[in-house]
Amino acid sequence: MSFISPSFFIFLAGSFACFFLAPKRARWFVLLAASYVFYWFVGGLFAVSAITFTILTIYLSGLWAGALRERNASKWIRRLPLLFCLTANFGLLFFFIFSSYIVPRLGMLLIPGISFYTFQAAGYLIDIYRGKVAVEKNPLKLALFLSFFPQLVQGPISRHSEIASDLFAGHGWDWERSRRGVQKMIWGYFMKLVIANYAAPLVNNVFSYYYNHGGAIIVFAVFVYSIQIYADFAGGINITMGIAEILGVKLPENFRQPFFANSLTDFWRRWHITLTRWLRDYLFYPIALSKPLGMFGKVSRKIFGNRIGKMLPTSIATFCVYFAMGVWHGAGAHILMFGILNGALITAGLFFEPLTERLRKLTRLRGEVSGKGKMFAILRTLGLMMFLRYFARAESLSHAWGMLRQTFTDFRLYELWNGSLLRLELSGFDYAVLAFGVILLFIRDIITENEIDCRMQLNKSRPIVQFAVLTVLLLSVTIFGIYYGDALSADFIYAAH
Amino acid sequence: MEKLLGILKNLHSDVAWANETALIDDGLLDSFDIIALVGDLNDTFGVCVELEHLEPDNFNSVDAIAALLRSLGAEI
Repeated sequence: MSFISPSFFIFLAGSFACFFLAPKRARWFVLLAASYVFYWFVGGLFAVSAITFTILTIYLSGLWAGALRERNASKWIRRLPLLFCLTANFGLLFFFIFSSYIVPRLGMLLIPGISFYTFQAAGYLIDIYRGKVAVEKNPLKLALFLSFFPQLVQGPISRHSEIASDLFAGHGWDWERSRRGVQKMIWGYFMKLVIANYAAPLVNNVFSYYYNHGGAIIVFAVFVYSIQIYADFAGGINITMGIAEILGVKLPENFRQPFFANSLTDFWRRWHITLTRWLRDYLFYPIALSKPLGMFGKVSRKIFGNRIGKMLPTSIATFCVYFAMGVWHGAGAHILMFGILNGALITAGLFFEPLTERLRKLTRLRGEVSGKGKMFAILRTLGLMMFLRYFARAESLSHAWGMLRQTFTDFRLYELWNGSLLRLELSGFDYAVLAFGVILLFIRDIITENEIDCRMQLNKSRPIVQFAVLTVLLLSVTIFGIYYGDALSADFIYAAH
Repeated sequence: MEKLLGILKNLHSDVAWANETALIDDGLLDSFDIIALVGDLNDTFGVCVELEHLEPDNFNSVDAIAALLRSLGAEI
């Protein structure tokens, strides 16, 4: 049962009805029941058992960690619950990610959303250890925090302190909130059905049969893939956030106009924000500020001087983070390479900062905050991200290298206008729909980048304008997305994590 | 305070450190800066800034950083 299946809408209508008709105090329990029903349909008994295991282990470890903290136990004793529980849960996660390598006979075992809820659960437990969050004494409430159905299969990865009060408050029906929630959902469906789904056939074709195409078409396909993955993932998140908003739960933002990033680090601050901040708070800081790395920093400062010496520990921590980011995205040498290259490029950026600063002065491209300099930085970041996407999307590492070789040795620019583009499973009509969707997305992102809330502006405008905008979006979703499109066959890319 | 401002200036010379009150929230200090800053603060003021101190509120302004240092026993 995906967000785009008819059965999901029946489920959603039933859940809303039960939630709002239930007494205020029982609403959170309705949400928990709905979440388990949803997960049963999505992943079956196996997935329900896996998440229940995580909930139980996190609950018991949370109580233990809380008790040790209250007793002022030593740091090492207080780490025991984390050690046992995180080893078990991350062990389970790695087993499923690498199942096809560990036990080839089993093939790839999939538990939808396991990467998301495991990270969310681990964050909650670490926060208890750090004393940043109170222990959740009610196991059913903890179960709801970890299994809340809108965010279960593709995030965002929320913190307990961010959503718990909303989840358990049992907010009643609110017209304004619901209107905003529905608008967010419609925009999410537009991104998924009118942009991502229209881009998919071209991307699938070129990435599968790259050897039939010249470099120009491969670069074009990688660019289209960059848009597809954004529209697919952010579209799904918008639907999630819209549903949650109707239920009165404000989830954290997961995307902030990633195509406007002016560096790779800035990109990761705008893309899958909740994963990046998780990795920053629970991996980067602990590694970078660990005693062994601190000592290493002191030694390296003596050997390599102040600047390089200071940078080495940060670089090691950065590298670990992006390696973990690669592993999080799935098994396979090409995905690991995606993570390693990310780490390598960002680390290289740190080391070469004085050089880029000098180049900036030489070329008079003044910084990365405005004008030509900003445009250059945005295009450079887009180019770097596209290079990395060769590895993220390719079917194997050898395919990724093959595509890069093709790009640099056999470009065939003329294929962009000799009709080759129309032989990539997209008709002229499909390209027109895709272009229309991308232009609307671009306009929306420019407006939001200038710190204007699109929905607020829309809701303040004249009724005729509101009606026109929503009609265009709804008609696009219905006609292009459902009637002409392939709405039911293409599931969300990140839902497999 | 002069020492602290000197460390911050060394980190980014183009930021008006004394006037900013949302260094973390506005993205003027990112995670790389924080690690470099913590190393410098520990070395210069002889304190031990640890993981639990890495809260945005402790790093959003020069005054907040100074208050954190004072709470850790530094003379500033």
